[in-house]
Amino acid sequence: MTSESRKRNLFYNRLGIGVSRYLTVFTAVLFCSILLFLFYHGAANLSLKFFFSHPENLGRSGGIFPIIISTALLCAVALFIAVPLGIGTAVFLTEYTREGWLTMIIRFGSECLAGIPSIIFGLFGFALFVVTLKMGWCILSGGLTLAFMVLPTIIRTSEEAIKSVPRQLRELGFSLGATKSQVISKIVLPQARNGILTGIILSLGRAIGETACVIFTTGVSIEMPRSLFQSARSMSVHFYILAREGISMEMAYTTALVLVSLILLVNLFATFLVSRKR
Amino acid sequence: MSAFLIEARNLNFYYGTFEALRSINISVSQNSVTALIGPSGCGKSTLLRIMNRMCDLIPGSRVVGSLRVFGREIYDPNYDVTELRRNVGMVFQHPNPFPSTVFENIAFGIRIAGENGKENILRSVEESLSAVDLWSDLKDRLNFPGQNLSMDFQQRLCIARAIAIKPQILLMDEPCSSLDPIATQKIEELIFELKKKYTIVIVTHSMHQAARVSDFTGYLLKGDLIEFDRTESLFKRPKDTRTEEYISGKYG
Repeated sequence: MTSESRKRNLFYNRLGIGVSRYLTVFTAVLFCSILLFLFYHGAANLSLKFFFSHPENLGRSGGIFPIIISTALLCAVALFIAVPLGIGTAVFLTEYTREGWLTMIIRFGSECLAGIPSIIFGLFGFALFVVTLKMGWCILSGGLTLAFMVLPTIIRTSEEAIKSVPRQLRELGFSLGATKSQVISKIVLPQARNGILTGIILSLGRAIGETACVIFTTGVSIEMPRSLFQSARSMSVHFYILAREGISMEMAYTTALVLVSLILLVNLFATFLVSRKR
Repeated sequence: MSAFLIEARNLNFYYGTFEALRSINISVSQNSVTALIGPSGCGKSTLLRIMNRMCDLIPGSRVVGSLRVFGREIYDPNYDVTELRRNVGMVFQHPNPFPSTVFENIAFGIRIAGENGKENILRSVEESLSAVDLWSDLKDRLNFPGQNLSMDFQQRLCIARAIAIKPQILLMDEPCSSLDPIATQKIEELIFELKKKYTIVIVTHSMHQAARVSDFTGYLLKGDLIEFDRTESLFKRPKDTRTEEYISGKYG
């Protein structure tokens, strides 16, 4: 190699490292500035009372306790439906079918589903649950719609996690006299646990912050929900209404701060799960 | 029931259209060690894996002919394959403990066989670890991760796991190929011990190992069982010239 080309290689190498470093810093700065922005505008109203009291005067004062509960209920319903369905589909796709047109259609369909904007899910949920099935605006309609929305993510991540379990471990299970279902439940799924959990938690992060889906299917009631068949308001919807209708920008920012912090916590937890050794 | 635990008659095996084994006739008698030798790709591991139907797991594979284990056709469509695998245990080429503790490694097979009593499981764990001469070393380390043991201990743990579900036959697929000479010697000594209770079929790359541990030896070449005889006769007076070439080192 000539010294000329060696110099050139060295230059491009350094350039590459430099550029990627600045881009990384840029991403981090962007995220931090959003957080700081929310903190700057929203921290003034932040107190324990904000978390544990009911909103007053349409949300101009008071707290967001029922809204936090509604958000939690929506996510719980969504995961309760999407997790078994998603893991079941992933097991079926990876363990019980040969690759063929059926798996291709299911996989393609689930990939397309992942790319659909959430407002379309909202519209679909509205048409199906709220109108056709006459469930009205309620937490159940919203939870089911959210479940549809996160389903592709759960299927995809579970599938990858299941595929990453070495074939030898399965063989070993069979050689010890295990049936197919024992191999799946006692070897494959425990081995894939971390990957599957990560997918679930990322889905949870998406469901917590979802607005369009929820506003069409759960409505905007600010009351504390007493059952899954009542209308309710999630945090992001609350933020949207406070800001859009000019009720209180301060309260909107405080709600956003709580919401974003919550999503951050969920994602940190996912990172922790991934990095942890089995 | 015939005198043989495993009996293959005109057994053929195909991967798709490739004929991996051709008209195999072999008989394995109780409490003997049978070694399968031959160059790489001759079908010796395949023959081993047919005996507990592990080959079923390969898409497009097909068995033609008769293979009786304990006197029953194991490729009969009504045959219970999990029951077969409980009676015909397997030890793999590379030590492959589950990513869990020593105790859990052995308890796994016992539990899936339907035994859930804590006392019984602990007793089985002790019995099987003692049988492979690991109990005194590991009895205080039952919660130690199995994959952190030395290779020698790992392979013996795998043998303990296989015999914990009380099979009658043990299939060993080159069990010493990733072990050093001292560990290999220990496994070979263990095979002598295990022979008293189990019938063993072992695939090995090493003719010397076959000569040391086995009572019967089969030599496979390109899917044919060239010769099958008492180990002593096969090594001292091979009947086939191809066997002679292989054991004298002219081939393979």
